[in-house]
Amino acid sequence: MIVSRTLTVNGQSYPVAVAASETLLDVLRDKIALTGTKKGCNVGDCGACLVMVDGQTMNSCLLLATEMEGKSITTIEGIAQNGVLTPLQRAFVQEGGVQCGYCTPGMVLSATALLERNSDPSKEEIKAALAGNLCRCTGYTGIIRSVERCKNYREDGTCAKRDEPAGKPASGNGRPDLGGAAGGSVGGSVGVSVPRVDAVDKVTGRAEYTADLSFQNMVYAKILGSPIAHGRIKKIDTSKARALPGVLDILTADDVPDTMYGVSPARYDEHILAKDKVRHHGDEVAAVAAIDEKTAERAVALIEVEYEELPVVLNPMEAMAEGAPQVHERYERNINTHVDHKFGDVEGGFAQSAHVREEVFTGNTIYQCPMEPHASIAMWDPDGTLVLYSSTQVPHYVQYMMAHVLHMPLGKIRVIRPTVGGGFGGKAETTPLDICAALFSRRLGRPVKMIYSREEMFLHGRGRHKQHMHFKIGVDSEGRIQSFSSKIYLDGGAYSSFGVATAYYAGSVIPTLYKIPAYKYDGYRVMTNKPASGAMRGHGVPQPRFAFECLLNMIADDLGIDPVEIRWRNSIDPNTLTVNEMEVGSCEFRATLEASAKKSNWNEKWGKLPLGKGIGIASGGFVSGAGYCIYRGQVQLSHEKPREPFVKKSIFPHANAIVKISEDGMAAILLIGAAEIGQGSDTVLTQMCAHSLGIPMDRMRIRSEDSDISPLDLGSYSSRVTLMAGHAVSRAGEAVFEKMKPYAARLLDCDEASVTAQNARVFVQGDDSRSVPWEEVARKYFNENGPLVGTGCYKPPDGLGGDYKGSTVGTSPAYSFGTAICEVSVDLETGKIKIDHFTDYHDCGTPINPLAVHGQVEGAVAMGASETIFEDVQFDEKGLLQNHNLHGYLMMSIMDAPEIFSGLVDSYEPRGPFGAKEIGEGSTLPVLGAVAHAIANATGVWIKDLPITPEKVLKALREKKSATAEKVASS
Amino acid sequence: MFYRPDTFAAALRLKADHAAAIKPISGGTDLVVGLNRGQSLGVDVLDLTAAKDYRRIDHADGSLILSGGTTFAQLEQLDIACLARAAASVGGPQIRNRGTIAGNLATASPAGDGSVALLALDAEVELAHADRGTRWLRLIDYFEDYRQTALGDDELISHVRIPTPSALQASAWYKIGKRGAVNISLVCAAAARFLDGRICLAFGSVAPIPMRAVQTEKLLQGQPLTGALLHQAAQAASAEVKPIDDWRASADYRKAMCAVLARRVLEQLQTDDERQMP
Repeated sequence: MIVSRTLTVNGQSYPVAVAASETLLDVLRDKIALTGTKKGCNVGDCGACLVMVDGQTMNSCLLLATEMEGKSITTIEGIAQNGVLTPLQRAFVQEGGVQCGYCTPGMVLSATALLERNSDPSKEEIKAALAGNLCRCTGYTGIIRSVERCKNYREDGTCAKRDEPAGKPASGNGRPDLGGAAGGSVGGSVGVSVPRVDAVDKVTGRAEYTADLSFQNMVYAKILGSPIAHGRIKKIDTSKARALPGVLDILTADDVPDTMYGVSPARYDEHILAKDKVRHHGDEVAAVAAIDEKTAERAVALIEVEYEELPVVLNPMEAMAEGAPQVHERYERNINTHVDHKFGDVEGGFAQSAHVREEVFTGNTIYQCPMEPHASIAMWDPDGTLVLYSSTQVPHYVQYMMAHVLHMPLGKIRVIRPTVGGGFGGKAETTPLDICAALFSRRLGRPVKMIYSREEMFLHGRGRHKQHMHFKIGVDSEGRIQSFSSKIYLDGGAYSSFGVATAYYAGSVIPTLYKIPAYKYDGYRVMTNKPASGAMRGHGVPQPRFAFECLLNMIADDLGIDPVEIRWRNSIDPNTLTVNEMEVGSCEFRATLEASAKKSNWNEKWGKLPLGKGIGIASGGFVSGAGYCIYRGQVQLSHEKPREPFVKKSIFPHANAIVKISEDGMAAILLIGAAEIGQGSDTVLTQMCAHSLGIPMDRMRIRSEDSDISPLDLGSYSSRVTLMAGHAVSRAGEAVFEKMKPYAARLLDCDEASVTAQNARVFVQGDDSRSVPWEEVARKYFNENGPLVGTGCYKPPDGLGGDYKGSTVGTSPAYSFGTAICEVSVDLETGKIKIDHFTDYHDCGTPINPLAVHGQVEGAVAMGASETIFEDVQFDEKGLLQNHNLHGYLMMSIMDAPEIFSGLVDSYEPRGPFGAKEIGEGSTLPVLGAVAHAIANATGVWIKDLPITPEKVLKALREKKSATAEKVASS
Repeated sequence: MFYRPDTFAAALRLKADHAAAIKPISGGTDLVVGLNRGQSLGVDVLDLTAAKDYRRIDHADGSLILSGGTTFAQLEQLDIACLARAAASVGGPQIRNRGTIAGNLATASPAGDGSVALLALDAEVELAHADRGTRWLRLIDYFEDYRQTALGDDELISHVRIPTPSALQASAWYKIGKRGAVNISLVCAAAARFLDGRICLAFGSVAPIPMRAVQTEKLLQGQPLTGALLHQAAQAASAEVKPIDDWRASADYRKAMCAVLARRVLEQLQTDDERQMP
């Protein structure tokens, strides 16, 4: 039934025809075209769709549009008046309250509602007001800072209370430097905490994510997932679905190219739609295109599939047993990848150790949960070019894989990455949405839009591998590591995805932190009937790092050595080739230990806290970009590439940039295909390019979203963008300035070598009284030569890694280091854990943008802490997911987030642009172990099985109590 | 059809006429979730949000009379500790601006925080029919089985009656959820002590329905809350509840927590007593 209603939104009346079951969210987005209100879960769990109704905040996904007549609705688009941001919106821009931006509209509205009723809220009141808004990027820290900055704003927009910080660059996140583009530790626009270039779009609701886009004549499609975890497809009957009015087309395995695809070229094992077999709950079986999304959903439910159920296997050890159900025929005993690494005299090392300890640790199944669900829109140009809009963190690999499955040249595929609402590794692969949308669009001749629901995101999977880890460390009497061995079983789920690399990463990055003279790693990635595991923040390393750090802390305890001290004694030196041949360059690991211990008052707290209060420490680090591309050979359709032997060098540049100067010299357009997914790459790349050009940031624009416009960058994974794309953009900027030099020299009457530029002035080095405007020089160039364009590119150094199998994984031009100290309170009766405080110091080289760096750390701490104590994808005995939504799968709310101090140590990486290296993933690595250690310190019991739930804490406490009682009784 | 009456009386008429063929929507925090998951309504909708007389809070004869459409945000403001705290622990602010007490009682989830607090307050619920009039039921008699209640197909929840702060000596609330907000109770407990000395104790998420710990209450009647009695009551509560194992928590953990929570809410009652002493 359709009724007509007049809705009042942001003061304007909109007559609309709505169905009885239609939500306000859908009407706002689809019928009034106000897409600033986001759909994150559609069941009231996340707050991304929050609007104000008569001044009260509500989730618009739970409001029926029919009941909204006569009410005054305010969306994010109605907050800024006449384009002028409110003080709160400005604060979100300036204080790092925005990252991916998907939660931002809801956050801004919740905070606006709070400030309207309480102009001076306490921190607790701020948290309570934002408790229904989930954020995955910021750790809530920047958001709280933003609202606090707005307390007591006066009408004129100035703040009555806040002391503006001095211009000195920040040493911690407590006082971010908010100076302009010029000035700072390095000079120019590098090393300064400038706001994100996309922040204004994100606080006003203007930023467009893939699902926000609409095209003429567009239709929608949905995918049918398997209701069982393992079975043979006997029959698919689509007749009822086909008969539903509004259904346009249906795809099953018979209708799609019979090409296997995936991530690791050696293991393409996914069909576009399930062929013969389903291997996990949600495995994609068929797809329907229809005139609207609801019709497609209804039609999907009408497809009848007959399955022959097969027994399931749900953990890697069982899957490896003789006679276990085979997930794929091709993987014997379900072993997808086996790593057998041994470096140095492992047995000898243990033999000469004064103390050896061996423990078993178990990880959990973590899902990335970016706030924005995956979405794709495909259309075909008349010349046969595929245009694909995709919410991806790896546009180039999507292009490569689409070429592979469609069997067409990469050059005929244009991938556009609109604003992306977070990835964390969950959007690092080509999805069935990308492929099915393209196929439907080709068959129908119309644009096709596909979006995963929150539940489908979990079912599609690609989260963190659950790892079962047997670790053994031998040390001398002073705690110096003599030998280390690990045996890890990785729960791979039903497909390879990134898993080959994950299995290697789980071993290879461990020796980059400590001096480990002998190392054995035995790893098995095993197929199970679960959604495929993939790459998530810290790819493969966080759980082994957690295990290693816990074991090191246990050994410190055994030997009576302070946990800070044992790390100091074992910490690696700069310029070290590790036992597995990773080239560690700059390394300020010890500085991170010293600074975090000092800042947290470690010495006053360690061993001195009452029962129930704990402090713990762990360290970690990561690669600054993978040394090698995921696929071998050059950029070319995979089917046409000759099989060539692997060589230890990059075949093509991994990051490429073009800078184009406007004809009047007043603007520089930076083109690079680096994927801004919320982490801030557009901002830091703009900063570096502006710096090398010698102009302020407000003369720069970046275009990174379109493969037709921007040259190849491999994307946002392996924490590669700052280092690799940073080199490309600064080299492109330098190339432009090189071309300008002869003209500048002529204007300034000096030699070319002494020409330099800063802040849009070109001047003679050492004599800035002799200067000309930058644009004047650029115009002179254009007058004589035409377009002023520079290009730059970056290839990782040749020869990275050893000569053994799998040696490429873990190689990188540079490594980061960090130490986190965590303080917790544990309720010893209920086991409830409150993570009170984090002190984190990171060596990210020389930061390009300290505010962005701290934002990464804050987000990583909250995410890491959340996965340590809350998160776990649950399966029943048949392999069906139990908590694939945001009220069952719990990521931290603002009420749980700890206070975070993020600090940086002085560091300079010669292989990084302006001395920079990574921050995004390395910042996650110390977190899990630090939380676990703090809990052990608070309770006296170690939980070696993630997540550390109240129930596990209590059980361990009870076991310890009865063991102690037995001991007393027997003595 | 989508009915949107502007008075509660009109709503009652519609409900009486259409019975099961019409589904009331008050806050929509349950019903719309189902719709969005692709469940068909299958029936017409009776939208209660336009009935302005369905959101009132009145005082009468030592009681508070809450209209069924009272939101959790309104309940949060009440001067009754266990109900205000229970309400504040539901969802996030935007859910509390929307979710209503009638919705909580009609859905009758065993984890319904509002239901548990009201049980401890020994509240009564008024079920109304356009022709038959209204009937008051004690909440303890209202919940029948898993998501089954005494509410008839042709009735609506019109009011909830609870003792005012003046009839109550003290009340307490404690919830264990997995995280700090937007959080389903693993176990929750509420307790109230009335002027006549009676103590009521209720638990959520430990039985098919929000439950009163009647056996435990018996132990407590007329006794000073000594440490020994608290211990005894905690054990009794733990024995009395009937939780299940699910992926959120084990039955054992829930039982153990009932003991802890029983003691904590009872201690809280006592502390409040002491605070009130001159």
